[in-house]
Amino acid sequence: MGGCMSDSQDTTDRNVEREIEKDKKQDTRAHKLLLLGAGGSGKSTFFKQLKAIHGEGHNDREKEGFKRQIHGQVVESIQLLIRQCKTVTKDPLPGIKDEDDEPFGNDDLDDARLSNSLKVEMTETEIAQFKIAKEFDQSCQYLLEIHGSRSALTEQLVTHVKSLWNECPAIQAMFEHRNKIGIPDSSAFFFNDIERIGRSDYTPDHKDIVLARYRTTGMTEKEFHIKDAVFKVLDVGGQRNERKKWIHFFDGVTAVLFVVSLTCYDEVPFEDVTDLAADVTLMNSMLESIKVFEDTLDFECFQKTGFILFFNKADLMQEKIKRVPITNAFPNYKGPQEFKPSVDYISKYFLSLNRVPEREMLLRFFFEYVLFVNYW
Amino acid sequence: MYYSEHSFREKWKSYILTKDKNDVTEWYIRWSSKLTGLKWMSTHVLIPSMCVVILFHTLKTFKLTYIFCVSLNMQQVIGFTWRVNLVRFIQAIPAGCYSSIAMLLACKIPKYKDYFGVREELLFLSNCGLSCVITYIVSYAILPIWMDLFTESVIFCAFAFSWMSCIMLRSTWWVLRKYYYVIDGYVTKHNIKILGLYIDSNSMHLAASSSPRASVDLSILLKDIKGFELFMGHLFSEFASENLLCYLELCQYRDNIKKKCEVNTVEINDPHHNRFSINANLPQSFIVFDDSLSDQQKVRSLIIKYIKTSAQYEVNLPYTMRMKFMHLLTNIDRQTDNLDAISLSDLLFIFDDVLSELLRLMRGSYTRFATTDAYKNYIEHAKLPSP
Repeated sequence: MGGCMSDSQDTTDRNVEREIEKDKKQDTRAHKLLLLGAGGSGKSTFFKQLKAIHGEGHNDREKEGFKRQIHGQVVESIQLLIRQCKTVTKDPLPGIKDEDDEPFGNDDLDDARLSNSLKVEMTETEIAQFKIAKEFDQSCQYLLEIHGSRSALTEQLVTHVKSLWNECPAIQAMFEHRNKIGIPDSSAFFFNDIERIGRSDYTPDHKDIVLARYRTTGMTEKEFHIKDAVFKVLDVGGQRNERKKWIHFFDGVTAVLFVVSLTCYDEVPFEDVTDLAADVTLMNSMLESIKVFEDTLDFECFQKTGFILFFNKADLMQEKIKRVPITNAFPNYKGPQEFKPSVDYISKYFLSLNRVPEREMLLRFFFEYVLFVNYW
Repeated sequence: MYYSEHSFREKWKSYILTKDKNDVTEWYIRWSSKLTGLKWMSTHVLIPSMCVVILFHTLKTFKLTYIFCVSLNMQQVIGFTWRVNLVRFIQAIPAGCYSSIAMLLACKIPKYKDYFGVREELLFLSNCGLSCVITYIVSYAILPIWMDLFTESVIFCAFAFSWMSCIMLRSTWWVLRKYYYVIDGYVTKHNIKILGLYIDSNSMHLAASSSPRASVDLSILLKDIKGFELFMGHLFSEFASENLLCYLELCQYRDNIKKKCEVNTVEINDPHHNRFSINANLPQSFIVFDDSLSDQQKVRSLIIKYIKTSAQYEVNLPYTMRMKFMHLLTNIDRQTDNLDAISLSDLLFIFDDVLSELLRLMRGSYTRFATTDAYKNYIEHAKLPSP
């Protein structure tokens, strides 16, 4: 136990902090790896993978937590899909009145944004495809009335979600536009498996846990023993407010694992527009990722730190590249609209951002969530 | 330098209580393995206490204690040989007292209040101290009748450990003051600041692979003041404290408006019932309980503090939700009567989405918190309302 002085000045805090920092530095047996990247790039997914493969896995309590996350994600996604369909087709929401939205006039800012961006490229007939048929009204109403965080899936809820997802073409059509309304790709997986997930004795398996999408806040650290080496991996949140905290984890870092989502070049960033008048369609998550990467490279304390770039979601990229060229984010790209050259271009682009030649840069690609073991 | 403590308990309250933005410094808890480290313990505890013991011994050699005894007129009461031994016995008394006080405290400390496992450490130390004291008495006060002075000194030094352990116990007691109710009250009354405690986080993060049988919903845990404080501590260690700070202030805001509604007999239809209620004994937000501010101004201040982009305690909200509030803020700045037009009942629900979102955000941290020993102890001993 420490000798205790009851003197409380702010200098004391700072001294204590400095001392602790010193201690941390002495404790350098473990390799400290920092997972960084923009929001939604897959840092926590990677962390969960590591934990399942090299750690002791997830215990029951954690699984319980993931179950809640997954249930929440299902409910929120389906609600968002319904609401978007209704807004685009200007269909009044059945019996729903959002208490807090009414008075401000510009309540549906998000919806308005979407309808604008969709309408530019859409004719009346195309809009009509988002029209939810009358027969689903009951389901819609039921689902919209649920409060998102009370996310236990009841039998009734499961039936409603199932009928909407499998039988309603409007929902499917809207899901194709998920990149613009911020619905995670993995929601489709959960919708398809809704019956299994809705069972009362359901416990999420490895795949479910890895696919669950939620925003990380704060920092989680975990030590992994791989062969003889000890790795201490830090997982952090990637959104702008979370990035302010990164500075706290920076000292004594062996390597930065920077995660980039390959598919984000046509996704509207989750956040990060400071000015309301800004045109969100001009900004996409890839540009955001690049900015974050540049900022990270510029940090004084990282001048000699090795970087490992992880290009994530390559499997989804293979699908997406057929529909959308990467020129959204890389206007100078002249190559063909194919997977290999596009990815090469992106990785070269990221490497060229490094202005310190002696810094070690590694590239890694993840194809599918289970496969990446082979790439480790 | 002394390893002084700092209380995050005091610190996070200041985030809520102050109005001045510059008054609060960024501060996070960092766990340290220092107190269990051999090197630090030996330089800061063992060596100083060794010095004290040697000094004591030297004084004795100069017969200072002897003179003390003479002045007490003990010479007439007992014989010479026994007197010397008595002096030695007297030396053991404080050590014995320390041990028994610590034992007493250790037995009385409510288990769930023991966030950092102080109790176990304390029991160990007092056992250690007691056995040292016994050995000390046996080998130093009883056996030396047949020993020469040199052996006696050697044994004295060897059992100086009992003194060390006493000194350690004393500091344990200092720490205990923070956790022990009565002493806690005393400390507050006399405005003594006891600062935080750093104990290896490993004990907190040991994965307790127990069944989720006693899982409690987060919003219920937060209604309990102890649960709230424990969880706040955990969030500090995870650098995610702003979520709970925000949750606290918004809940207080909500309660406040709700009361106003009741006074003005405005009919409200609260879809969340008691979901967002928190303990009234938690520190009260400066913003919410400042009567000079109108409700609109409170909303404004809260948005600036937590929701606005690049706010001081910006929470991780979805873009669309944040934009809604940013919009609201610009309207206030433009002096439009947009906010004034809102009725009291609408003001009540203005942050409901944010509150749900915050609970969702903290779910991950809560899952990890649920694996700590602190949580386990708490759940076992706290009486929580069943969900």
